[in-house]
Amino acid sequence: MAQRVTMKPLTRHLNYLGLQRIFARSLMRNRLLFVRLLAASLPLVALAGCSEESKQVIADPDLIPADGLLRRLTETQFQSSLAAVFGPEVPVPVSPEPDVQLGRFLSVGATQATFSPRGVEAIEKVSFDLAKKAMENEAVRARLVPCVPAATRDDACATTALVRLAEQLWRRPVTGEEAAKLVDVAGTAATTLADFYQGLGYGIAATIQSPNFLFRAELGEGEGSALPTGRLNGFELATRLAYFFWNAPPDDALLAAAEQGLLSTDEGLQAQAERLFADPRVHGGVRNFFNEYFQLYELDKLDKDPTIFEHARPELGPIAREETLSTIEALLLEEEGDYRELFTGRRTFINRELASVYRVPAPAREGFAEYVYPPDSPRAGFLGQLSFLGLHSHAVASSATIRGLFIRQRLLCKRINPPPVNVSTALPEVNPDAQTLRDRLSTHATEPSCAGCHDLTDPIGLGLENFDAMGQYRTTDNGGTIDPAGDLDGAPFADARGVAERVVQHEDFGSCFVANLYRYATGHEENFTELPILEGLTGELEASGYRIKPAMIGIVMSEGFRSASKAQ
Amino acid sequence: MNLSQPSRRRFLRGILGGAAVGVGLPWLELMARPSVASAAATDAFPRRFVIFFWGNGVLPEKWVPSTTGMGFELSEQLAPLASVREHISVVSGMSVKTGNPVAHLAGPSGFLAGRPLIVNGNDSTFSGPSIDQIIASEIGGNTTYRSLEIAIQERARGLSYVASNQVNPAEANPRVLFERLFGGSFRAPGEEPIIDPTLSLRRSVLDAVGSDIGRLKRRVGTADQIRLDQHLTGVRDLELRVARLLEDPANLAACARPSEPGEYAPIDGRPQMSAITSVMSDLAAMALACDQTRVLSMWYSASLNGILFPGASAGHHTLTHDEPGDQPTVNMIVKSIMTDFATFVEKLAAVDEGDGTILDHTGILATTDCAMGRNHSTDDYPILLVGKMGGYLKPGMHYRSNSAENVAKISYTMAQGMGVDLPSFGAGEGEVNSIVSEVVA
Repeated sequence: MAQRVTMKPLTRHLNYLGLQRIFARSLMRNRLLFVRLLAASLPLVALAGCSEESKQVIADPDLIPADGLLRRLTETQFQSSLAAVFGPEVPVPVSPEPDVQLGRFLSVGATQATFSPRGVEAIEKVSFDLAKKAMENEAVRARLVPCVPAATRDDACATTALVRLAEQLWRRPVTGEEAAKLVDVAGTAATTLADFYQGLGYGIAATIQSPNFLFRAELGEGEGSALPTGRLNGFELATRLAYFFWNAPPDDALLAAAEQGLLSTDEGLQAQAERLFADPRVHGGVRNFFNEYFQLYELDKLDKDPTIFEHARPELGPIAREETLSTIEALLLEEEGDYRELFTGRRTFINRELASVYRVPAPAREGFAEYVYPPDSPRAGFLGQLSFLGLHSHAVASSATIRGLFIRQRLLCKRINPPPVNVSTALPEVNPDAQTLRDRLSTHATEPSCAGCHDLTDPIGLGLENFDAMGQYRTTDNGGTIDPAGDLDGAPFADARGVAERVVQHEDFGSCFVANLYRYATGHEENFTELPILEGLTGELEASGYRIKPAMIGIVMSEGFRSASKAQ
Repeated sequence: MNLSQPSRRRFLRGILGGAAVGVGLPWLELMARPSVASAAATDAFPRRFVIFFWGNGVLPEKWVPSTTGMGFELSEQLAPLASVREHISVVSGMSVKTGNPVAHLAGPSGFLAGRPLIVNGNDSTFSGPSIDQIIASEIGGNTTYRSLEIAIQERARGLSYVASNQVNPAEANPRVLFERLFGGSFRAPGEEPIIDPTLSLRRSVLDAVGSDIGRLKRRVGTADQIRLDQHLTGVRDLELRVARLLEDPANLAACARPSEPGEYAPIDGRPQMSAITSVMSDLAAMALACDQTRVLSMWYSASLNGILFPGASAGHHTLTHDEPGDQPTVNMIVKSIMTDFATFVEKLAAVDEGDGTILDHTGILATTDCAMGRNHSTDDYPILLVGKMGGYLKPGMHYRSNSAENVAKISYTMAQGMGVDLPSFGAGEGEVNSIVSEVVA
């Protein structure tokens, strides 16, 4: 059994995980587990038998789940969670506490972040504002308060309303003590203000300001784990599932399933995952995943020099983001198509402004419409969209290095160290001998201290040089003819479309997508003991033809998603 | 060297027999209320600590003055500060000692936190609190706000760290900042306190939130307990602020309600840095004059920022690397930043307080994210110390370190000046426990 610690040839993953620390810790914990397993070898046998029966669940008997943590609601989750309760009549802002990026994911940063004094103050304001609007709007009030108060202070009616609200906002049953506190706040306020509903507003505000709303508890407090470590309880699991699939809170049906214990069975959990994927809210979840994975949120500040690019204006970044997200929704959700086509496909969704940038026929009407590039078009897929080409460029010029870096790091999960800080990163000036970026970047290739990393990034990015910093097609750069040909780890390409083909054919492309989806879902970078899960999921992804639905459901069914170790 | 301490500080030392006082002791907050009055009575005016920070460094050859001592000659890039030169000391020749693994962030970490960065792939964080938050956790309970963080650049996040991964977001919208500081609940000296029954109701909500945090804390591990404690600090601060609304506003002669700011949208993709600096400086000056806070940081522009400055053909960061030769545009941008900084200093110097001005009772530490943007050097770090900090600092001179002293000593010195007597500051190679006596009066 001691062999288990080193049994899998996983070196391929080690390069991007910075695993030394995690590995050392896992080794240590595996020894502890070893002792525990010896003491309980019978359950282990039972577990192995059980895992084989279920086709969906990938066996990983050595799993040490990541520590259970509080996850702060992200800016958008704060909004979606309140909107789910208050409905369309009451507009809800995003969280006033800015997101934190970790491992390039806001969802991972949310496991480390807390609330600043400024954020606490701003949330207090938001909570009172929402409570007031909710109590002043008859339709909303009727939904939130399913009873008629018998007096200015009516604790029974307040209890009915606040318990229901708190169970939705806190995503779990509330204790009698918790309910009493909320009702007391509301009752005191009702007496002071001589108005039941105004008083209830204070109870609502307290529910929103509570850490039980602002943090998602994923602590592993469940019972009956198959592992010697904790499983998420039904409500924790429902919450993790809902924010993964919808970027929104669990609905009543999901909370009911948790209450009935249905989520602790494979069948019950899978049924809910299937249901959530079939729900339109899955668009919000998948959009948010790609928003984080491709860092599309940074398009809020797509700074391009307006003296060089006539199209530059503040709204352009969000428009470019919408193009990419619309393409993703159509391909991955409406058609349940092949993820690789996001890079190689010729179809996109553009509005008139983007049509002008791309110099293609504009849609007949305002808004976004489907557009299919002709077969001989140099442009294809996400790597041919402004959201990628513009974001990974400078304000005035394209950058083969930044574009190549995104592809290496985000799409192929290659770990690349930041540049040494004491080198001059200035490129040679444009001159008759070096007009194109390829010529000017030649130091990167010829200087050994640069080449180590730039060989990983620049050749890919130079393949995309036919598109400038505004994503516009060009054949020359400063008067020199652009030569986009190159290779990706030995696989040759002739131009930008060839780059996309080579990227999706790369051996690390599928595993990298799975790893990123898993990190987003679980809020942590996988540890060593989770690698068998990722390998299994990667196999499933390839077998499914790169469909996102089985990939998402496979993650949910994995023990890594369903478990958490008790944090010390 | 003047080591006079604010009275509360001495009181603490008396109680604790000179033992090191840990930050964030709960009873510090309990003491907070009376000390506003007592500080005013014994120390004529409170001392304030301010950070002014900009991104992308300077051009050292045009930055460092050629002469030292009192009456030094302003360099080309410091020339825009001529109108306030009597208030300015330049410190040069000091170095960051905590390594430079991530350009633009490692320098500020070694300087403002005295600690190396924690690097996680492409993301990094200070590994401990920045000096403004160390000072704020000791003295911030005296004021309406423990600390204030202001950004001039939109979306600039600032580097005011409470702990690793915990940055205090900076407020970049002048109207929002105005509303927060001088909006509905603000009372100028002489005005009646608010009589509002909802204030006690707000406190009952915060009380309920506080007990929820306490209950949740019992279920989580150490790391999450720390996060919840930080959340709780914000809740308790807000409770105190609400409680103070019921009391008479302090009688501070320099305090008056400023006028409400307008909107400052970018023009042709270029932010109105100078106009925003001017209005934010007005708000900051009054925030200090009204004792809303004694710890303030002004994040003019972020590390690595790509601001399109007027007259520049590319973003600031790109220019520092791509502009050839003597980098005339970069030079122009640094001078433009110093012009805006001069505005900020002038606004503090324009508010009278006692026999002097707000600036006389304030110490500003102005610095950037590296020495030279082009090569990200962290030796000969750009540092300005501005104001007298109640007589602690010695403005008007250029001190050049000839032994490449640790920049963190400057942070430590400023804490000392604020009466926060740290046994040491920082960690590892960055740790310091002595002041730079040359800059002290």
